[in-house]
Parts: sequence; structure tokens; C-alpha cells
Amino acid sequence: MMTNETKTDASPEGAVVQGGVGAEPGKPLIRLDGLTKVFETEDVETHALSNIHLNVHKGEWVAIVGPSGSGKSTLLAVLGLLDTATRGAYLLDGRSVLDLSAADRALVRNRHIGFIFQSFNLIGDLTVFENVELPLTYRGMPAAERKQRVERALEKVGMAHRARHMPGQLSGGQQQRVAVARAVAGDPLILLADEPTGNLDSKNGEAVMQLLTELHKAGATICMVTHDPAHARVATRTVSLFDGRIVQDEQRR
Amino acid sequence: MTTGSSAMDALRQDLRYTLRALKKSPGFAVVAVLALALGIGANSAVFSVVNGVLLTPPPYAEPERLVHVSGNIAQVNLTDISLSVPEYQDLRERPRAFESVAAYHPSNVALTGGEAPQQLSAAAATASFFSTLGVTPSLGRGFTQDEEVPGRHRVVVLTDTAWRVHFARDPNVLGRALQLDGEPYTVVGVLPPGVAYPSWAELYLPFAPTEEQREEGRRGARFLTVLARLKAGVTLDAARSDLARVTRDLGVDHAERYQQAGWSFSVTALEERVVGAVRGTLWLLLGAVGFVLLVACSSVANLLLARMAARGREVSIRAALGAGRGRLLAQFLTESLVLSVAGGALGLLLALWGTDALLALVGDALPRASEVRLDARPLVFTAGVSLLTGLLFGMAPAVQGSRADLRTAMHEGVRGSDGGRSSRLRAGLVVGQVALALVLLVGAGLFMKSFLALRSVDVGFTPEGVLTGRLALPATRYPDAAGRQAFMRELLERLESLPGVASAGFSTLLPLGGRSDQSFDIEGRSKAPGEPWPAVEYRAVSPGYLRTLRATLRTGQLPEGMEGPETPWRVVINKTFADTYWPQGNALGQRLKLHGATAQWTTVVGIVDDVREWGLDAPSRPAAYYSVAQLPSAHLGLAVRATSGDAESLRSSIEAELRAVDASLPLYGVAPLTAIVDGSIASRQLAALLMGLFAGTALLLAALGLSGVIAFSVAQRTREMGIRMALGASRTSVLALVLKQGLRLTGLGVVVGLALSLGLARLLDAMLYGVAAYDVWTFAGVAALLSAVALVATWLPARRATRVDPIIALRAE
Repeated sequence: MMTNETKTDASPEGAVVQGGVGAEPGKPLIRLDGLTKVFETEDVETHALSNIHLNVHKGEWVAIVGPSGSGKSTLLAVLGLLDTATRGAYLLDGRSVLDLSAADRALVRNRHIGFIFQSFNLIGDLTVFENVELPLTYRGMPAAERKQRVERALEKVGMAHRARHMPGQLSGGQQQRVAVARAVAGDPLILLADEPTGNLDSKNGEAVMQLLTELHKAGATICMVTHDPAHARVATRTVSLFDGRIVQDEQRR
Repeated sequence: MTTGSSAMDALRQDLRYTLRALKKSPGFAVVAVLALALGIGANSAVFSVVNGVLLTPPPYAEPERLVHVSGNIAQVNLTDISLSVPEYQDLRERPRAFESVAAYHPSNVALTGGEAPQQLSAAAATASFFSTLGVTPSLGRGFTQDEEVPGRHRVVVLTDTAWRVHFARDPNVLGRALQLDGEPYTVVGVLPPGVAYPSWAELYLPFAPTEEQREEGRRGARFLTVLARLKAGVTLDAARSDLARVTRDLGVDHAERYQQAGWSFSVTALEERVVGAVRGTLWLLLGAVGFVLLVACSSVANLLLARMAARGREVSIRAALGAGRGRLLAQFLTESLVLSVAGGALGLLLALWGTDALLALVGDALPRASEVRLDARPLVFTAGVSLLTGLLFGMAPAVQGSRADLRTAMHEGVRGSDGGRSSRLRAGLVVGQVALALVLLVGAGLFMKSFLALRSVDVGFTPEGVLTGRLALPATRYPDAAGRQAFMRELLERLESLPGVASAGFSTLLPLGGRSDQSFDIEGRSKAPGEPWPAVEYRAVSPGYLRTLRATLRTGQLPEGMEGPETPWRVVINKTFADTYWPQGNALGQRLKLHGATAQWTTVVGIVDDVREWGLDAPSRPAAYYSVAQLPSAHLGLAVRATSGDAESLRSSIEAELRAVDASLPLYGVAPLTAIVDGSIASRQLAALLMGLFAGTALLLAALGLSGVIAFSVAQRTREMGIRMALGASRTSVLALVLKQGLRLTGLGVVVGLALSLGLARLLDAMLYGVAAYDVWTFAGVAALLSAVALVATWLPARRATRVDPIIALRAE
């Protein structure tokens, strides 16, 4: 088993560092201990994740890579509380979140996690403004504060001028920028991005990566599933999965 | 924790989103709102009738204390008969249960002095009538004890309707002089709006019994309808016991009339008396529209479930962004409630129209029809039903929708979370719709067969081509039999000489016009002690009457002359009479004598086939047709047969001839005899019509629901169909596959519906005529009809499945 392994490799900056627990001083933002996810059908048991140990500290940008079926998306779903683990422990900001009720998980997702999906996942019947506003509405935030936050988030991604447009009127790149604005509007602890450039052409893909870089520089903690090695290299750390196990954990500074 | 303002904020957002989503799916919105509007509108319309007739208390003080008192004579098998003046006096003095007692009898009067005489329906009522009823006139006063004396009785109290129609709500109507039957009367009071008891009364005159009517010997002259107000706290049962005691006391003084005759008093709640006959039908109709609403709810729930399945991804995104289940439930229920409120609003408009249409259809068959209006209670009912409906059809889709598959948000191309549970729920709803539609169809089928059975009853006469009307000869101008006889003879001669008139005749009661029971003796037969007196329905008719009806003479003859009481009395009887008392066939020449002061021994000279005198659904009873010259009456029905079919065209010439004989005498209640026959079964026709309408609506909604579910299933299985066809499945086998799915659901629905119908048919038994509640042909026919409609509803989407292009279908994923 290769959990939180250290690999000697040259990062773009040329630094080789110790990854995993203790890579950053202080308490990790995300702590996974022996996390296992098993999918069971009538007569087949599939281990999507096996005994994962992973710590992610505040300000890290972790790229999760691996071939199809390696468990990347499952890991991201468990991190985002969209799915539950079969065994193990998951502490988010020091708090165990594996055994929460569905309502509490929804609350944690709403307040602490921002999602960026491959297919943008904007709601077609809501305007750009309303899409960004949606998680804040679920938070019960007053309208004036919501408005302020949404405008700020849209300005951050350069989409303020499209606030009244419907998603169908935007290009894919624009839609993903709106999705990023929606993810950051609530000031989450962590951004989870699932192949955020997967549905974009290279130009728009680079623009979104640039946006994430800016967010990271501003202090955001990001976990990003990607197939693209070039995009993985932009992250500060790369966790490689194979058959549901972490086979490499490479950190760059 | 969300605060109140954030909850309102969320509601506003949900409303905005819902309206936008509905605008984007106008087809869905229109179908859903229309289905709900039909269901809610029909419920509101029927409820407004139920509310007006059954639930709204009449505008009398403490109406629950009002009772109707009538008599029964076991010996002659007579029930619910009127009471005489001495008996009314007994009821005023002897019972302890009553606070007050009143009586009235119908007394039609001609209002003259205008352009043409008008016949008004009056009730001659005792001075205690209004206080017993619990009504205070809105203008003026009621009657005083003094006015119960003949000669001092020429005062009138108007109903609000008469005040409006005949006096244009003249505020100075009090003291106004009227000419009624040629005598001067003065208006002394006007009743408040809504008071309509008895329902036919337009005005009230004091009942001023003559000395003769008050005599002990006139105990058998029963013509008064009696009502009483129970003392506070006295129950119906206690009143019945009290009147049983009164009967025993009367039996001591009048043994033969009461004790030996098997006399008893009936005490019925006045409300039951007025609306009891329609109570069952109205509740049944409300139940039926409730079923229609359930079917509509199921249809909309099914549409919402299908939409919810298509919105699985959106729901997952919302959940991923932190919407809890409660929040999602609230959003989806908001969507349902918006639909139901829109359906309720449109339903209210339908109800406004439907209530008017219902009342127009019902005509006079519905008691307290004037109380029916879409006022506060039906409006609250509509609002409540709308909200309940929204919850009812919205809950299942909302619960289904709130079970978001969160991982769906992460995977493109994944269809909505349409699990097996959702499919089963949709299938279950369709089965329920089919079952409910079948129950309604069975009900409609039974009512329709019952109505058709009534329509095919041989009434014993030919109503087509006969115009009828009624006349009341005032005692002031026609004080004796000779005057009335002369009037009848002259009018008949004039009418029969009119071009276009084949014949004309008078009868004290026209067919289906009421009861006139009398006990009688048969010559040569003595009654054993305790044996009931024979009783007969008798009419006094002119010679041409039975000929005008085209009653079939079986044997003997129909008298042609108008001989008076001094000539030998002759009577024509019906077949039931002859068969009952002379089963050997020797009725002709036998003699009988009606009990009563004026009747004499009368010879049977003819036998006619039974004429349905009391209702198409009532079995024939012994009936006797006396000569109106020998049993004279001031109240007459006139029947005139046209030589061609169009009897209505005779109306003006009949009225002209009447004016020529007596210009102050109005002909009222003019109607073709066909209308009288139709009117006698109008309530059954209405029940059949409404049940048919409700069942048709439910069938349509169920067919749409089935078609929608199959269409959705076909859309979901496009890829499967493509694979099947790529593997060599023929279009026919694909068609059969889909049809099988639809027919399986229909079959289940039919089985459930038949089981429910068998249970409910028992409730209909008492309302049916000529058809058994478990009529196999109705059940089988309805099941076949529903299956055929379901087949068409399934076939349409199934055909689409056969048009799937395998290549496109396989690429679609």
C-alpha cells in the first residue's frame, strides 16, 4: 500500500517536498484516515476507494489524477459529501463529517464546500445572477448581503455584465466562469473541481485554469480532479490514484 | 435556522422559479391546470348545491325544532296523509311536546286588475304559521287570530319574490288593495328574502275555517299540512311518544276513526321533509365529483412525476449546493400549490357557470334551489380543496424529487433519478385512475340503464300532442256544482270546435299530478273486523278526458255525457283495480261507494289499462275515474289533444276561448304532457347525466394519464427499443411489448375498479329502477369500454416506439 507516499520528482519550480500529513504545519483542513468506499451489487463487490489516507492543508491546490475507474471522482464525491464512505474517517476542518445526517451534510456542503463541475451544472431556468445566488439562498442569507456577494463573485470571474443572462445564452467557458463564481460566492473552506476544463476548448480551459490560479493565490484551498497532466502541474500537489488507492503523492512549492 | 423573512424570501424565489418554469412548459401547465380546474370546478359546483340545499340552515329561528306532522291509517294502508281541522285543533291542545302548531293548505288564487289575470300560488295559513316557522315579516306583520274568521280574512302576506316580481319592491306596498278571485284583499306584510316554505307559495292568506270544517263530524276531511315547533330540549322520539299518547286519547273518544282504523301520527323533522328525497343523490354526486378530483390529482401527480424524473439532474445540483430535503420539498410543493391555485381559480369560474347550469337542469326538482349560490362557504371549500389538491398531487412527486441522487450532479449524460420506485408509483397512480374511472362508469351505467328503463315504462297514455294547464274556479263566481258544470261544458265545447284540436277533457288531477286516496265499500262484501278498508286513487274527470289521454279501454265503455249527481253514478276503473278486487274478470256492473258525505253507489262501466298516475317508478295502484259532474271540484286540470303533433301551438287559442268564457280566470301551469312526464323523472335524468359527465371526465383523464405514462416509458426506453430492433425485433413485436405494458396496468385497474364497484353498487340499489345494482351487462360493458379506450390511449405512444430508428437510438446515449 502506498499511502501518502513521497516521490522524488521535479516540480515545475524544481522543488521536491514531503507530501501528506505534516507537509504543512498546523491542523489539516481535510483529513482522511483509512477511507474505503465499496459499491455492492447483487453479487459483485467493487472497491472504488481502498484505505485512503490523505491530509489537505489550507491553501493547498491538490490535483487528483489517475486513469478512468481509478476512483478520482468517487474520492471527490466523498470529499464533497455527495457520497458516503463505507469505512474510515473523514475530518473536515477538524470535525468528523462521515456520520452526519443528510440535513447536516447539506448544511456542510452549503457553507463549507464550493463545487465546480465538468459540465458546469448551471440551472437552465435561472439567470446567471440567480445561479450564483442559489447556495446563498439555501443558507438563508439576507437578500442585500446575497446581492453584494453575488456581484462580487461575478466581478471576480469577469461575468458581472452577464448577470441577467440565462445560461443558454453563454459560451461553455462563460458558463464555467459562472460556475466558479457560484462556488466561491459563499466563501467556502474548500473548492472541489471535477474536470473543470473537461468540456471546454483549450482557450477557455486555460482561462478557467487561470481563474483557479488566481483564486488559489488569493488563499483558496482547491481539490481538482483532472485528466490533463499540464493542468495537474499547475496545482501545488498531485495525488495519483490507481484501482482506488493512492499510488503517488507529489507536492511542489 | 431560517428566519421568517428568509422563509418568505425563499418562497418568493420558489414562486418566481415556478412561474418561469411553467411559462417554459406551457403544454404541461395548460393540461395540469385544466385537469385540476375540471376536478375543482365540478366539486365546487356540486358542493355549492349541497351547501345550499343540505348544509345551510333555512332562514328560520332554530329550524332544528321544526317538525312536520301527518297521519297514517293502517287499515287502508295509507301513510303520510294530511290532517283535518278538528285534528289540527287536537294537536294545538293535547300534545306536551310542541311549543306551537300551525297549518296551511294550498289555495291558488287569481290576481286580477292587471292586463291579464294571473294565477298565484297561495298558502292559506293559520295565524300561528309565521311564529311557528320562526319568521318575522320584514315589512308589516303576519296574521292575527281575528283573521282566522271567515269574512275577516281578506289580508295578504307576500313572499319577497312576489313583492319583487309583482310589486317591483314597492316600499309602500303595505295597505295596498288586491283583487284575488274577484274579492278585495289588503297587503299587510312582506316576508324576508329566502323564506320559501312551502316552496311553491308566492303569498299567504289567512286560513279561516268554516264552522262546518270545525265540526267533529268533519274529522275525515283531511286537507291541512301541519307543522309544529318542538319545545326546547324535546327530541323527535319524545314527540313521537307524546303523539302516540294523543292517539290513544283520541281512540277513547273516537274509537272507530282512530283505534280501530289503526291511526298513528308521523313526526318528521321539517328539514328532512324538505330535502330528504334528494339528500342521498346529492351526497352521491359529491362523492362522484370527489372521485373525479382524485383522478385529476393522479393525472397531475403523474405528469409531475415524469417532470421530476426529467429534472433529476437539476435536483442533484440543488442538493449538491446545499439544499436540504426539506428545502427541496418546500420548492416542489410550492410548484404544486401554484398549479392547484391556478386550477382552483379557473375551477371557480367553471363552478360559477356549472352551478347555474346545474340549477337550470334541475328546474323545480331541487328543493331550496333558491338558496344555492357560490357564497362564502363554497368559496372557502374551493380554496381548501385547491390547497388540499396541491398537497395531494404534489406530495408524491415532491417526496420523490427530494430524494436526490447527489452523484448525478457529477456525471454528465446521466438521466434523472427515475428509479423503480418512481415507475411503480406512476404505474400505481394509473391503476388507481383506471379503477376510479371504472367505478364512476359503473355508477353512470347503472343510472343510465335505470333512466332508460323508466323512459321505456308504458305510461298507459300517449303524452305526445297533449297540452295541459290548470284552472281554479273561485267559489265567489262558481259557488255550486251547476255553475262549474256549465263552465266546463261551455269551455270543452269551444275547445273541441277549435281547428287543430282533436279532443279535450278535465280531471281533478292530471297524470303524475299528485295523490287522492279514498277508502270505499264494495257492494255485497263485508269487511272482517281488523281487515283494512280497501283504498282507491280516484279522479273526477270529464267524458273526453280518458279519450284525450288515449288511455286504452279494455272492456266496457267510456261515459260520454256530463250527467249530474242526480243520475245513476258511473265509474271507469283501471286494470289493477279490476284484477285486485274482481280477479275472476267480472268487474263490469259491480258497484262501489267512496267513503265520504257526497258519494253514492257507483256502477263500474268500463276498465282501462293502468295509467301511471303517481310516478313512472311507482307500481300501479287501483284507480277510479268518476264523472266530474257527479264529484264536482273547483280545482281542475285541463288536457287538450292536438290533431297534429304540435300541442304548444294551441296555447293562445285555448287561452282565447277561456277568456271568452271567463275573462278573469287564468290558465296556469301550462305545459305539454310530455314535459310533465319528463319532469317526473328529471332528477333521475339529472343524476344519470351528471354521473355520465363525471365518468366521462374521469375516463378522459385516466386515458390521458395512461397515455402519458406509456409515452414517458417509451421515451425512457428509446435506447432499449433501438437495441431490440437492431437485434432483429419487428415493429409489431415492439408494438406488442408497449401495448402489453399498457394493458397490464389497465387490467389491474379494471380488477381493482370492479371490486370497488361491487362494494359501492349496494349504495345505489335504492336509487335504481328496473336494473339490478350488480347488473352483469353494465359491469361487463363498462369494463369493455374502458379497456377499449385504454387500448387506444396506449396504442398512440406505442406507435411512436415502433418508429424508433435503431441507429439514432443507439447514438442517443
